[in-house]
Amino acid sequence: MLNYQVVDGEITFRWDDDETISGYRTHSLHIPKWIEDPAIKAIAEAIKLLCIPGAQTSYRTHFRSGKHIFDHVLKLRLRFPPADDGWNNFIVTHYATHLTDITNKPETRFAQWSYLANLYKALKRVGFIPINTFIPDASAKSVSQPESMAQPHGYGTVRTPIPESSEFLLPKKYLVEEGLSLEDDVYLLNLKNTLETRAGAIVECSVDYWGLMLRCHARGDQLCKDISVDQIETMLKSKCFYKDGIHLAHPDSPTGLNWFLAVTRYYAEHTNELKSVTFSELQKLPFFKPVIYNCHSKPKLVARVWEAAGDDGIANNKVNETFNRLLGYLSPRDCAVASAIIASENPNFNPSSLTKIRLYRHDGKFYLRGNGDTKRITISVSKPRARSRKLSVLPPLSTKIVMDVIRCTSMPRRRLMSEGKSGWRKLFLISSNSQIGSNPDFAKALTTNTGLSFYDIYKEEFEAVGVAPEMMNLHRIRCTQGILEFLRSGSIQAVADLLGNSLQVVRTNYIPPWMTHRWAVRFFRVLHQKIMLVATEGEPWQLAASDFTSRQELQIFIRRVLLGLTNGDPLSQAIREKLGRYSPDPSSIIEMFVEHELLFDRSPNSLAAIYAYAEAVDALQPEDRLLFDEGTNVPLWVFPTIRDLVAETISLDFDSASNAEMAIADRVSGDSMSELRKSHLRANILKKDLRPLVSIHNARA
Amino acid sequence: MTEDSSFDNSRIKAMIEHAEQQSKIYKQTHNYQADWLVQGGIRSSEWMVSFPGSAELHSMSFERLMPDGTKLTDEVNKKILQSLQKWLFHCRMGTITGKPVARNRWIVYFNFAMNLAARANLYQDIYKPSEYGFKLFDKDACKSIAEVLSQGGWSAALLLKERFIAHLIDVLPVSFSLQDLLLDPDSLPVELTSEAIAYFTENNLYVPSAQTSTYENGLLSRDYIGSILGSSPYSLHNANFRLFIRQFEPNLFHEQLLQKSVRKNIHNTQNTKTIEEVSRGEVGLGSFKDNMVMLKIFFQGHDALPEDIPKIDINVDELVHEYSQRLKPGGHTKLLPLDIGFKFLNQASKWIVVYGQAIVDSLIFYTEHFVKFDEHYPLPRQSKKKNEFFQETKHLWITKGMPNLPSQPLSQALKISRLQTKVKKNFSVDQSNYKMVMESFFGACAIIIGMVKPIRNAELSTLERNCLSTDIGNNGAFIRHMIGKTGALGVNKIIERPIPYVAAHAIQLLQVLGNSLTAIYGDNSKYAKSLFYIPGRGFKCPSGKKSDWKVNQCIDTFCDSIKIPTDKLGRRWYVRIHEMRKFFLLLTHRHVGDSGKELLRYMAGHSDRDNIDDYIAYDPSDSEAIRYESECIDDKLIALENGLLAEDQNQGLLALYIKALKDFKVTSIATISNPELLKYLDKALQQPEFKMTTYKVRLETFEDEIYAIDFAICLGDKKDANYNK
Repeated sequence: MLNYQVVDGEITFRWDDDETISGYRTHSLHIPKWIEDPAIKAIAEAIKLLCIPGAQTSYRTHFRSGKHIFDHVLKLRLRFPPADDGWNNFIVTHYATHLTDITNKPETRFAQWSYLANLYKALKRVGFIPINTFIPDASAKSVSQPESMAQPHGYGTVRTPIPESSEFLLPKKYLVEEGLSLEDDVYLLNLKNTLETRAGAIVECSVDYWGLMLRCHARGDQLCKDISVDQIETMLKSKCFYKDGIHLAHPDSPTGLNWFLAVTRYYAEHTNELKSVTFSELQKLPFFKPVIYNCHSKPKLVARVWEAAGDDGIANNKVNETFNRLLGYLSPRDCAVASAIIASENPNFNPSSLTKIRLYRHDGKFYLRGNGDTKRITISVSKPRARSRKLSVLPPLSTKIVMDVIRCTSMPRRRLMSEGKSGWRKLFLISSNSQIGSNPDFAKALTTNTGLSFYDIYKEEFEAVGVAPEMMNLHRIRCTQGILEFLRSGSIQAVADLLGNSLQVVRTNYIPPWMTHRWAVRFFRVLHQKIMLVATEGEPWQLAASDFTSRQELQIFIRRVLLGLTNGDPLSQAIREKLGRYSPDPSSIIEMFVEHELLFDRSPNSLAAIYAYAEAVDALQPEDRLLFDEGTNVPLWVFPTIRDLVAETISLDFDSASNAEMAIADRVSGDSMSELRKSHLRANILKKDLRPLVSIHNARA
Repeated sequence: MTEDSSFDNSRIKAMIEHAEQQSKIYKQTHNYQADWLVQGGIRSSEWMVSFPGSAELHSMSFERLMPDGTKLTDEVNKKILQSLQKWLFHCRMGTITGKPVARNRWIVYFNFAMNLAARANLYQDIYKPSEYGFKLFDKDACKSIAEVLSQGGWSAALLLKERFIAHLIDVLPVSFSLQDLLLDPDSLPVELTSEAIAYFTENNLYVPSAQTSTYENGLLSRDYIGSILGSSPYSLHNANFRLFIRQFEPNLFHEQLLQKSVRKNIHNTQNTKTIEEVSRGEVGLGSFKDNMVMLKIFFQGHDALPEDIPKIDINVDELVHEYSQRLKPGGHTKLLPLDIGFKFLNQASKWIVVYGQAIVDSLIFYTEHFVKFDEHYPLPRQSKKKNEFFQETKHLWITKGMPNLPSQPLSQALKISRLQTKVKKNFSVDQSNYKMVMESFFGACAIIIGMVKPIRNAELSTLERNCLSTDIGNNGAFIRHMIGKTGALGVNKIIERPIPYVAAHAIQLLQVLGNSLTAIYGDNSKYAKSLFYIPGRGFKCPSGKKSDWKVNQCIDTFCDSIKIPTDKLGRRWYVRIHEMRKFFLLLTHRHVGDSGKELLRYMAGHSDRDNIDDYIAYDPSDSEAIRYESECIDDKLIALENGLLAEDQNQGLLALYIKALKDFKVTSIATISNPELLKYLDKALQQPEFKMTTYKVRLETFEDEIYAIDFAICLGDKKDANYNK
């Protein structure tokens, strides 16, 4: 319940809040002393009415509106309330003062005014402000603003100068975009390549890093494996730490490091005595104290650790991490690298949820559960045998990484479980300087680690492909996948599906406006040319009015368009009708194979039907062969071409055939050349029965 | 200063100016005085009012003739005059609806008020307005207004036809019984009409509707009719009433079409209504609804004016629903036939590429000389001198040659015989004149831009001259324009969108032309910076008024120049900019399918969807293109209901029709409100069981072979005969 009191030139609002010790919160507004009680009451009451329907968190916005009014009155020493006919002036003045107050950003001013307007309107509703008072809102009529869009270097539009006379019109080449007849927009292709290279570099370096890490784990295992738990327990029980006058774990002992690692691992995995796996924690234990708390042996120990890790440690870094690495425990950076790989391959996970992803086990199989942007996602780590659950499965690389992580986190997992801490279900658990357990902040170790970050380690590789530190975070990694999907498919829906997001979110968060712009620009330029060429077909001014500088370029464009036509929509129909005569000649069917898939049944009956049809087409005039078959929507000339293709394929001489010919033969024959040969021979007999049944009369242009 | 902060500053400045203006409107005292009411008050016969942003005062005359022959300003009518004036005042102040009414809307309120006054006067036996003002109006009174408006609009509600006939009987030496004539006012006996025509001719009541009109003195003066009936000439636009008056306008007679009374084009436009359509006398659902809204607002005035206006609650939706059976659903933008669309593009390209430079160079040349003629010769001689000069020099201009099209003199290519003519129809169709060529060129440029970049009328005509840009990275031309529909917080967005070479070339030609012409005229006005800078009469410096109308006029001339085929009723497709928009978006959407919706929204310049309709739209990616398809389906459903389409050929459509009736629980499509039905269709079109293909159909309304796009529907297992054909 919200209440207020007016005492000593202040309105004090007070409302209940269980989270405070006192059980309530207060907020005070200072009132200019010349304002009389009824006016104060009116404002306080109006603020209260605005607050009540809203959340407690929004109270302060309304208090601030009140403060704005009092401050305005105070600053300009205004009479308040003004006379009835002075209200319009008062409010417009306040409006102008507020909007031109440069201490706040314009957006803040607009936003604050809309709350202020609400307060004034509330005061108007209760009759404190006369009904004939105008209260402006924060909208700007008759103002225009260019679309804001960050453009990459080297792009952007410039206004063309207005030509002096018609002799100085810009030549066509400046007004048309190059490469419309190309298969893909060169720039977008390059961009796609750049992004792919960068995304690839991150994954490659991550995999490399992971490999080094695993090798280091293996080195450590190798060192500990000869010292059994029994041996350690016996030794610890006996408190007999020395052998031949030298401490078991002393770096000068040949097996000193072996003992050092094995006992550390014992304490970590079989006891709860260690808060963290660090020298300073270890030295609290009687076994380690003599070795670590010793300025003579400690440096040697450190040197042994480095030596043991060799190239697989993190050079120039704190020794503690390498020590943990020899023990097979994960550092924050290790987890960050693993999550980078998983984020690259599974962008449907929300990055902030990825670091908190949970691990479940059911029937001996592991499942990951995390949040997407819109729903909870469960992914099976191993491929479920039966299709009992409709689960997506992690891709192989991610699976391997996750299995590694599961293995490397068994120590902290056991500890968290035995301590009854909730974090034990999290996939990523770390062993760092300060803790053993979960810390979702680890992802920042990609670029900002204490000591070396992932980026620092692979700086050269990243710089070579243009990955800057600020590009290196899980959000960016995911976003890049989204953009790549957009570049591949051109569809925001596809991106939304990939990211498990809504279109709205994808549009605002994942696709830079410039990208949409570039994509759309190219799309519309191509579309414009389709429409223009159809409209001007056969006219002498066709080339001059097009975006092409040569007839040849224009025809290449038309052919590409014709090959890409799949729909029966009016424009496609018009293109076929008007421009169909540019259709590629039958010899270029190879090109169609490259562009498209042609599926046909290889059975003798089916081939026989094609052959019979082909013969009927043979009998037609050449121009009629360009017509389309009603039933299949395929140009008639295709049928003889398929027949010839099959005939050529089975008579191919494999010894003298070129690679290209072999490739084509492979695709035409499917898996068995002899099968095709048999079908072909049989079909040549069968076609005689079918031929009389074929008549082509329903073809259309 | 960065671009951003200068934008913010200009925005804040505009906001404050706007607020100051609005604030002035509100300023008032309690005795019906306000800053905007510069002259007049309650019971004045005339108000002079000011509107924000305009220096001119607007006059509103209350001195209206009432049906009983008195004037609204007469003592006997003072009660209703007072009530209406108070109501209008409150509407302007915003005390009734909560916010002040904008200029044009308020004038609509004014006209409504005048009609309501006439209605009260006409039925004074019942409402006794001189004694009670509007206070005897009750629910039944409103009901009867709704009833009669749904049948014939205000011309029925105010008995305009009947009163006009009564007037004729009074003034003409004829002896007809009024009763008999009223049985069929739309086909009056020839004896009467010929007498009337003679009378009107004698009294000089036929007026030339516009100086350049195709007709001569064909129009019966609307001022005259208004003076008889006490209506403003503007309220006589109702098509059915025009058809009635047409009986006295033999020069405007057409067997099948209700010709527009003002026509500058050679042919009637494609939107000219047929007599058959008009004679049904249907009232548009939109206008009926608007009148009901007005009625509601009038009686809402009770709160502010309890002494003047009785308290009556009007449920607009209920009334619309009740009468919707007999109301005509709103029409949609017509879909440009495919062939005609392509013809526009083809011819516009030709005009720009082949003739463009010759036209621009010659226009600059002639304007330079004509400006001097205007200085040296008195007005009556200017035109003759100009024509003489033109005849001497017209051979100078050569079209651009290209393979298979050698260059030739422009005057020969376009058969230009004269400099200009006042009336198009006086001109042989085989020839053209230079003014027409100039207009056609502007029209061709407008069409090229409008056909390749969805744009709105006002956006096109206000394009700035320096609207062309190129990409420094890829080359390629862009057009830059402001989106008329405001975005978030009332800020208009400026967008840049790709255009093909031919449009860029057209813009460059217009740039050269505009720059040279403004320099020659020494024009420093705002209009001088426009891309479409169209010289005025006699090639003189243009005023810049009605710039969108002028662009449309140029498009019309172009349609005549390229001889767009006419339909069987002689109507020619004078294309409008919103029709081009629909054509482009629909054609493209069908071509690329739903995956292109994003791209289309981008091209059309739809603002970010972070505003309110985000939350009410069913799908954030719905688009104008889909709406255009829904409109086409809506048209077909209505045609089916009216029996214009055969059921057996349209099984898919029929299935959709039945489904819609079921889903809306109604028995007739016409009873579903139009926006509701369109929303429903938008959604239906997205359902998996609904499929739609297009096919080309030859238009039977044309003698020539003209093909258009038509839609075939498949719903579940029901298919139209043309589906997938």
